[in-house]
Amino acid sequence: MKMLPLYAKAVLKALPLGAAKTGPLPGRTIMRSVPIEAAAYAGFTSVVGAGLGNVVHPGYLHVLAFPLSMQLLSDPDVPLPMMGMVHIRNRIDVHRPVKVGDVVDLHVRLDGPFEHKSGTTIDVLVEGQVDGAVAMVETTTYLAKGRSLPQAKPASEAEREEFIAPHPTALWRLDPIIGTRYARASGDYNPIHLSGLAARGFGFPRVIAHGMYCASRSLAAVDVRLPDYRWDVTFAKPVLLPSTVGFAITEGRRHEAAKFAVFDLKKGRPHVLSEVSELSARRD
Amino acid sequence: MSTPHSRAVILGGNRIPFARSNKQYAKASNLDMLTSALDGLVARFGLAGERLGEVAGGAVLKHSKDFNLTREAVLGSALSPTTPAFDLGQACATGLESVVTLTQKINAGQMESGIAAGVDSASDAPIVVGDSMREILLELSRAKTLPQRAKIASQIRPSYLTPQAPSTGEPRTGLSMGEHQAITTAAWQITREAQDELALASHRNLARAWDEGFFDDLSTPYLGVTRDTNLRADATLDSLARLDPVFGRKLETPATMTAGNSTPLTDGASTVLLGSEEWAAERGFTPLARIIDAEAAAVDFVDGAEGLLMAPAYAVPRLLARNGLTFADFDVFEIHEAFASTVLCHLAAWESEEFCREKLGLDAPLGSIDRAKLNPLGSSLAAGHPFAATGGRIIATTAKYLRLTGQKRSLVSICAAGGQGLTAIVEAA
Repeated sequence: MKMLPLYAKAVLKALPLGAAKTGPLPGRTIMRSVPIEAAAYAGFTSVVGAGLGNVVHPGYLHVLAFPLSMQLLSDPDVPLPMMGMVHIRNRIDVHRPVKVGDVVDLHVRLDGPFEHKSGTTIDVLVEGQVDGAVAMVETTTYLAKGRSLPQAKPASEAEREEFIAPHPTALWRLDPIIGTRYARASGDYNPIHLSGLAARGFGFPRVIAHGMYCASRSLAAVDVRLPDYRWDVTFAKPVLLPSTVGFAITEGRRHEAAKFAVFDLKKGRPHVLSEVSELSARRD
Repeated sequence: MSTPHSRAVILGGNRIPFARSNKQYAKASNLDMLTSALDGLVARFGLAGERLGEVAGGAVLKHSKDFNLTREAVLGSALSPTTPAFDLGQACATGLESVVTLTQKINAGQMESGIAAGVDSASDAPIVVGDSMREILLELSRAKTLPQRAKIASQIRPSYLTPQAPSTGEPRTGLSMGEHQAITTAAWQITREAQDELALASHRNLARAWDEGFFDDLSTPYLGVTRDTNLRADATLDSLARLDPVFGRKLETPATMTAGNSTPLTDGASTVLLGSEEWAAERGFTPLARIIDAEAAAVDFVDGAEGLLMAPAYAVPRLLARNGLTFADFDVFEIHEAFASTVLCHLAAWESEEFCREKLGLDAPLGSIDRAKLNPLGSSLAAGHPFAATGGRIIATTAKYLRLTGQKRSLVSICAAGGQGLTAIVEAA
């Protein structure tokens, strides 16, 4: 799917034309079967620093569903402008490993709008099935800052734990081209990741890294080996490019359940906070 | 008489004096240096034209064209071209692993003689562009039109052109070896003074050894260099104390690691001649010592659970236990000085009741090492550290030292990138 026209359309919609819509979100579910091809998947793993193995990194499943979620969010009936929405949270439940060569049947729909202390959020719900069995379930939360809608449903917001920057166990030197490289690997050509001018247009001093780039690279560093797991990601301050950021596991350890963070080395503030927990342990 | 499993003996060694990178050996390749070190050994032992069992060696910083580096060195040397060779690698433990591997082959009766070798040039290093530049170059090669190429080329930033030349950075963490060690140094609260004292002892001991001619039959001058160029015979605690810290400057604790108590990037090559007792006797070579046993260890440093260079602290106790030995049974301790604080962290770990109990599962600490027995001929802080060449330097040095002094047993320990360490027991033959 060509993403650039979608973004152009979205920019137009961001302009304050007409009254805010008060109807419900489009209720339809988009379905698409996507085969996981080794060459395209290798493009993703090389950018996020994951090993190229048979088991697919769940960040790539997000990538596969991304054009469908953009298609839904750019629907004229969505009462919020897609452009300028901020990806604030992501949760993927991996129920069983998806393998290279599998055909993933993606079911994508919207949920919300929800109230949020800084605006209104919409969730994109993705279910990925392989051979009729649910392999992954994803909730991607987007925030439209400063927008409130009368029909928004109340939502419980988990308090973010206070973040104390640990000593970095790894340093990531991020070149500006990482935005282009991840765009090419993921199909997310949002101009704030590609052009300084566009980034400034949305209030960022420089190009920013894709949140899911940092999140996927974090998960690759932790290299989870659990049979099933929940991968929760909270996006805090965006990573401006170029920069060198710190990474550390703050709880748990590699291959297992863990909490980990990408953070600003100078100010100690978090960029991306992640947690991996065992799903089977949650079924109580 | 040796048991069938310990028939391999160390007969001697030869290295070229080590030189700081980008100086005297700046134009010498790994192949040049390894061939020279090999030829020096062949000349000293009169092995020209001989077919040996095998030559084993390697380099840490290796060009892709040097896939058969050691074999190429044999072909360029005075040895018979029918001498086989193979390359191996275990980062900074490469040289020692070459010695251990050939010892086992001789002990197993597979062969009668061999040369263990190692070489590294931090000057003539493979140049690789970073991933960003590589991506752009690949895109450029795929572009079909001039405007496409111009657009792609416009993404190049000056910083992308910086070649990724010799780096001691760990691939999984992006931290240099020095930064990793700085964290461990702080955790073990190793002081600047203790590090400088160890560095000073290294320089003094190495200078004395050169002055006394100890290395005369262990080295061959190369390109006008007759002594290790990093050696500062006139170093003092004052001169070391004046140096600014270079690692750990961003930690909360005071930075203590300087260019004086850390090894510099170095060029050099070393070789060790090994043979069965029978082979040595036939040629009239005097056995110096033998490798009794070796133990490798590795630690999980990636998420910071253990320090990058702490693996020897785990290998040594296992090696001692298997051989029923304690520190008191050793006359010499050759602990590679990647950084002064690396050695001091190992010593502190073995003295720590908590570490020995929690990490090693021992009832009591291993104990202290008599500092007079530590690196009596200097080590890497003074000699420099051409990664893969360090093992051969240490083995030839300690083997000759045991023979010369009539002492019995030496413990050799080398830490390596990737959280690894290789240790060995050397006994007088």
